[in-house]
Amino acid sequence: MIKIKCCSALLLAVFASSVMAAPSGTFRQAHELGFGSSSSLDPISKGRVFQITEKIMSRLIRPGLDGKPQADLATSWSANSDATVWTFKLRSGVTFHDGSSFEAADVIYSLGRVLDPESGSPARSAVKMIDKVEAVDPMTVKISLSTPFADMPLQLMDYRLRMLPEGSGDTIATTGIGTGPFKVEKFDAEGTTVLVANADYWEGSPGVARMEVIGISDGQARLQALLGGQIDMERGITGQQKVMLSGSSKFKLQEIPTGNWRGFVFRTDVKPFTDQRVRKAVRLAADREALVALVLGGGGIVACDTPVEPNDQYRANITCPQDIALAKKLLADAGFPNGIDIDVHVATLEPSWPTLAEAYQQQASKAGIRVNIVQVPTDGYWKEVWMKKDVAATRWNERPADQALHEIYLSTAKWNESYFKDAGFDDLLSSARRQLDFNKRKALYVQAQEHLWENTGTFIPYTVTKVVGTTSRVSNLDEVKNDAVRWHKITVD
Amino acid sequence: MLSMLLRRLSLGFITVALVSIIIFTGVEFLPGDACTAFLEREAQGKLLENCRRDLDLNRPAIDRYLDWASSAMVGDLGVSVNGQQSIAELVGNRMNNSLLLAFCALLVGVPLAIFLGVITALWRDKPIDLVFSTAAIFAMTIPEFVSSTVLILVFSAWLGWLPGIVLTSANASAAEFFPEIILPVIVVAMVMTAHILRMVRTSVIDVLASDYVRMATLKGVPYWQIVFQHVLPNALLPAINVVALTIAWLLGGVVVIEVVFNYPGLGRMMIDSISDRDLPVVQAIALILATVYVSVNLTADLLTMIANPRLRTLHMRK
Amino acid sequence: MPPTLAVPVIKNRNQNRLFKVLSDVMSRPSGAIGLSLVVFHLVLAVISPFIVPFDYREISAMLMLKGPSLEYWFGNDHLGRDIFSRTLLGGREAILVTGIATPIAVLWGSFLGIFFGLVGGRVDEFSMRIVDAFLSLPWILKMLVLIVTFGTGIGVLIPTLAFFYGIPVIRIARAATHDVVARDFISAAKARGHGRIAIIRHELLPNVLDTLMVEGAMRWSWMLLAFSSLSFLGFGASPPTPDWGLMIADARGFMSFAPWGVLAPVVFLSSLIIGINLTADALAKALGIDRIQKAPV
Repeated sequence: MIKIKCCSALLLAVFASSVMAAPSGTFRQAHELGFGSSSSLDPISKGRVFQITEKIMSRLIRPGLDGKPQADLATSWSANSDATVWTFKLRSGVTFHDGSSFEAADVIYSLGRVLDPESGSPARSAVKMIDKVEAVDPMTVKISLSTPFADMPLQLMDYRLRMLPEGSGDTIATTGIGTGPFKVEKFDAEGTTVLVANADYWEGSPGVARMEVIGISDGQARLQALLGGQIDMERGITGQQKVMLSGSSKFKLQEIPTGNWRGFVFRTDVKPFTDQRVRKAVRLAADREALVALVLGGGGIVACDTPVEPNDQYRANITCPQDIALAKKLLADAGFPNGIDIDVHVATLEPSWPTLAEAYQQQASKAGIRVNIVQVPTDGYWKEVWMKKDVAATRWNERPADQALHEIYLSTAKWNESYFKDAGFDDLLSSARRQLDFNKRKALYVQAQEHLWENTGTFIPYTVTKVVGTTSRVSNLDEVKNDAVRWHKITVD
Repeated sequence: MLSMLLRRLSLGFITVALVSIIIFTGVEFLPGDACTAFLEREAQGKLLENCRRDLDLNRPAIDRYLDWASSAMVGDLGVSVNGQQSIAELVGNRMNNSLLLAFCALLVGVPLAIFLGVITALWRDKPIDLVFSTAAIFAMTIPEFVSSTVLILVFSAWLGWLPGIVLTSANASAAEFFPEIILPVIVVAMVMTAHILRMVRTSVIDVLASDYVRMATLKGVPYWQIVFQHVLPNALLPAINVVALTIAWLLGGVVVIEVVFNYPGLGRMMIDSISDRDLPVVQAIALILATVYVSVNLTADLLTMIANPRLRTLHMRK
Repeated sequence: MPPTLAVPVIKNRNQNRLFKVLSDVMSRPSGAIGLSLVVFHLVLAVISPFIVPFDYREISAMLMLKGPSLEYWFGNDHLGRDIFSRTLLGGREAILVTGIATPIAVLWGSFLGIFFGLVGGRVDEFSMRIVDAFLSLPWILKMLVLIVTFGTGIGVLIPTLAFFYGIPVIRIARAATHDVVARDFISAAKARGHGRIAIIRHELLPNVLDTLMVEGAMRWSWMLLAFSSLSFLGFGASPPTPDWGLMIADARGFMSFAPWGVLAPVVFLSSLIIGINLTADALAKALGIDRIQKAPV
């Protein structure tokens, strides 16, 4: 007992010293350079470099270590009785990197930019329900919604909704001025971006003096750089690569379940998938446990065709073992006693798609579903194949339950990739949004997911578990999802 | 001589102009444009419209080409997609890096290749020739991605002597690329040395077998005097041509090496800008590479001509 | 071309010559090794589907990155697939694509080259500028534009490779033609009143053919390199096709942990390319052509 105490005291001391000490050392990591020369520091632009914006800008509300909304630049919030008007108290004494202080006008400006249809931000869909943002006083903001929305704080946790100084829109893409723990010293998306510690960060001075975020587009090169100790962190390690790093004392690994999913979309407006029984059969034919093992090397969590992430409070608890007999029966009932032939379109855009297709092909053949894999070019995949071909691979990054269900499954959704039109499902979603009682709301979201399991055309076999590898000199990296990491905490030896 | 030079220069200009037309047409035909490539799933409706308007993609292709060509003539290559940097500067940085890689490789490779080429030719079919000739074939034929990968594994991952991946920014100074540049230089130099070595070897053997060398031998001129006075000067001429072609290859053709080592050269920028449909950048790179190709070839021909008096009169040889 | 009486005679002569050249090639150690390697790979490409022990697509979570064993001779890759089977099959697509594209490239390139070489004048001048324009662009830039437009299937890769690798042949065939034309016997044939086609067939072709044969062999090895490089970059063969370039690209990340994944395809790919080069070398020596090496542009 004494020993434990002593240890924890020591730990505390180490912890305290690491926080108290002046920022020191350089932390290096790579980013994927997804948008080349269109890369930008504007958090709401398509070309945003998330690996940088996450460190330099803050949100009103961030996900805590438990994933629930936590105060960031907003200290507290409350809603009116029907959840249409939300009031946020802002944190006082926070300054931007340029010295100006953070106030209500900045919040109005930052959210206004996202909501402006002309700006064309992809982040707009997360907060489209916002009707008006007003300042009650310099430290209080009132947000009025066009529809009741009980989980508004969840939406404001979106990783793109970062607070910028008022009027900075034209320059933010290169200056990156925010309130985060690090400041931009030099932005060079294709080369090395240099960040330095922001001594005035509201949560305290960061542990690392300098960060270098380096653009390396080739995944193998990023891994080689980590293996050679040239970078300190790599977030895109695959389940198979994990094996290679896990034996070594030079590296630390974190496995973090995410809500990012990969799967196939069977268009519900095209025969034979207009028949709910066929849709269910093609999904029942999959052995999801085996898919996780085969495709991800075990690095994933089985999903039962729900886009809600495993740790989300609204995730429905469905089980979906492979059921070849039932799949066959459903196909026979639908008029296909001899099975069906389908063309599944994949591209190497997502490296795991072809493997997923192959593994699914082998599994589904047992139920008389003969899969023909059609490999199409990566270029133009989203324009020419996805939402065009009858069966195509898809991938999405996690989003709050309500947003995922609305953006991809609602009859009128812009990205309704399976052309899913179901009035009953739409009703469930809109009543859930209006429901202020958490348990009742949860019941509605769960019901919506169960409804999907019976009817959807989207096959979601799993969500991916992210493997983050760091060199052993890195300490205090929160073992949480990307957008909840507290960057000021980390230190390097 | 001067009229020939002018003629070659104007022909070179026509070649470069043709390149720009070919590339413009080629990239125009690609499915999608800079906007659909950037916006991916969001490439619809208003967003797409705005993007196309911002990037000036709505005008007819010919108009855009003429606009581009007339500004390119006066050295204005436009600004990058994000509207922040001049393309001349962006491409110029990459170009410098490619030149740096090429220069280092040539510095190591050319003397080595000439030395080994002469040795293998003089001791033709002897063990030393077999060893280096075989090694040259290996160096030429083993794909660059294989040798690069092996070098990274051995020198970076296992031994830890050299950094495996180049992390230096594109606009860094030459000195900053050391020591990261060493492994890519080794790979490039290996391939290049092998090609030049074989070339030198063949041509030394040719000259050794020529009539005037035989004549000199019969006259009793000492062997080494023949080698240094007659064989080498004549044999090294054709090597100039290979070196010239190699420079052109080094600038644009080492994409694989650049990708594996993350080296910020022209080649990688080229494939990235194709997948981004960044037409102005593709155009600028094609223009530069074509100019380099034309001018190194011209220089090589001129050098050959200066070095070999017999060719001066035969300028219509090719 | 209209059939003429001379055809069987020429064929016969060529056959005899071919035999002589082949035996000369085989008599040189490098030629013997090279040709055996090439023949080995060609035979393997044909019979491999019948002899591989496992299905090359069979993925298995249990076998991921397992080392060589009695059952799986070359080990298993990151998806647990049998590397031995995949390596044996790995040259089929490359050989098929380049094996078809090479003759096409040499044929159309030499046809145009001989044509321009004979015609000369403005047509020749202008065409050479276009050839120069294409040559001055790096291979990958040219290929990517077509591949990105039309996709990566065999149906795209064959014509693309055949087209671009035919262009340098134009130059070589043209230069060879010039060399031959400059010699006396063509003017002699002209003086004898032979027609152009007859001159091409009887005087020009036999003399240019040697150069083109060696050139063809070299083209083939470069095309193989290009194809595997494209696969490596993700623009060539598409998964799950077993292809050496692709296998190397996949296994590269695991090299420090599972080097067998890279080793087997590297040995096979390199041995084929080296075999072709050795053969081309020996062929050049046998034909008595002093081959001028070029950079792989």
